[in-house]
Amino acid sequence: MDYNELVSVCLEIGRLLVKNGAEIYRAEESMHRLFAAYGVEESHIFALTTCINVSICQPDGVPITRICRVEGRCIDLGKIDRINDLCRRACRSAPPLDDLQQKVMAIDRAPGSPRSLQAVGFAGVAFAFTLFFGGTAADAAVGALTGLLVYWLQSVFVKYRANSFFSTILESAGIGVICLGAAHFFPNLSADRMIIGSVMNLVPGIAITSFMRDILSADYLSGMLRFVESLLVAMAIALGVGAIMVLSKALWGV
Amino acid sequence: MQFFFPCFYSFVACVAYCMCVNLKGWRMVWASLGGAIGWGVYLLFGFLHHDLFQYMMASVAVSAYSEVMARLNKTPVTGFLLVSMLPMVPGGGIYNTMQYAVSGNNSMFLSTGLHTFGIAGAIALGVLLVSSTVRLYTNIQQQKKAERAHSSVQLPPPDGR
Repeated sequence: MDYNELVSVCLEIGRLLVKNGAEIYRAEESMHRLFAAYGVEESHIFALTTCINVSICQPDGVPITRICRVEGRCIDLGKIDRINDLCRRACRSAPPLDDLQQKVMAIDRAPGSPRSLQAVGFAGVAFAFTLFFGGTAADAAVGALTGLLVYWLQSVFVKYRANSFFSTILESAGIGVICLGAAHFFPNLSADRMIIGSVMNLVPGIAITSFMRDILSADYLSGMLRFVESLLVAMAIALGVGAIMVLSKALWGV
Repeated sequence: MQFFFPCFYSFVACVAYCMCVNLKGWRMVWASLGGAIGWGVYLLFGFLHHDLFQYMMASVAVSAYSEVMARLNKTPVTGFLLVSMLPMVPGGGIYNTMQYAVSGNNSMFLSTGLHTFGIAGAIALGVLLVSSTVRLYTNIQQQKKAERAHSSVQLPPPDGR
């Protein structure tokens, strides 16, 4: 048995889980179970939202340690689902490592939802949340427009690897421009509701709820990382929309 | 009616969000239904006029629902939980906090910010209550199963006594 390869395959599985937005404990437990299924008695794993450390002990007593940086995090529940499934089957049957490696690579490379569907999703989130926060149908239509804008900006920024803090500022500024502009030219629209609904696409909802969950389940370090992340995103949104609001006050005196 | 429309809107929002995060098929419908149920429970406890408690009860309901659905669909509970929690995420709170910050109203800024923080805590507490209970239950079941398997083997008494 090639323990080096085992560690790299398991690390890849853990990296994909963390990268696609699974909880820390899920990644750690999946890796523990995989190691146990392949007959490793001692394995120590320490995962953070940005980094995974693994150390296992080979039967001859020589330890193997790996560290893996997790970059380009996003949320893809479909991939988490597939990796979890793969992991469960691997724990039951312990397939050859090459086989497992290939399946993991295939999942990593698999494309997400088609672009048009994602655009509809962004528009739909903004549309439904504008209605949810008490907007009218006209407000919601403007919301859907900002959803499309946010999706387009986000895909451009991801493509050219822009700083995420910076891109959130610009996206929320775009939301501010569209919503306040629409509210200025059509006074029967309510700017507050449109902005709240549209901003839901950017709000770090996952980070906000899961940092508390990490802290309460004693993953303090990951919890603090997520807390800082959600604070930064919230600040970026505030900066973007706030700047536009101040500007519009100066221009139109609204 | 005042119950139906918010729940329906949160259902639609969750469906749209599922498209963004690549959740497909029936799972999308079940997860979105969780969002509608969560908001329904939030509104049901509205007579208490205490929104932190409302958020906690809603997140208890959503996470219980998610655990059941994850068991039925044999998928990780994360998928259901993340989508169903979306309507409860304090987006309005964040917006109001930001607005007070921009308009320079510092005392309202601090109190709204702390309230938003409290909402996040209440939601997390609800999730934690349910998931810890479920984990405790499965651990007890597993231990019992192991003990039963152990006793049926009829090991010789230790030390030959």
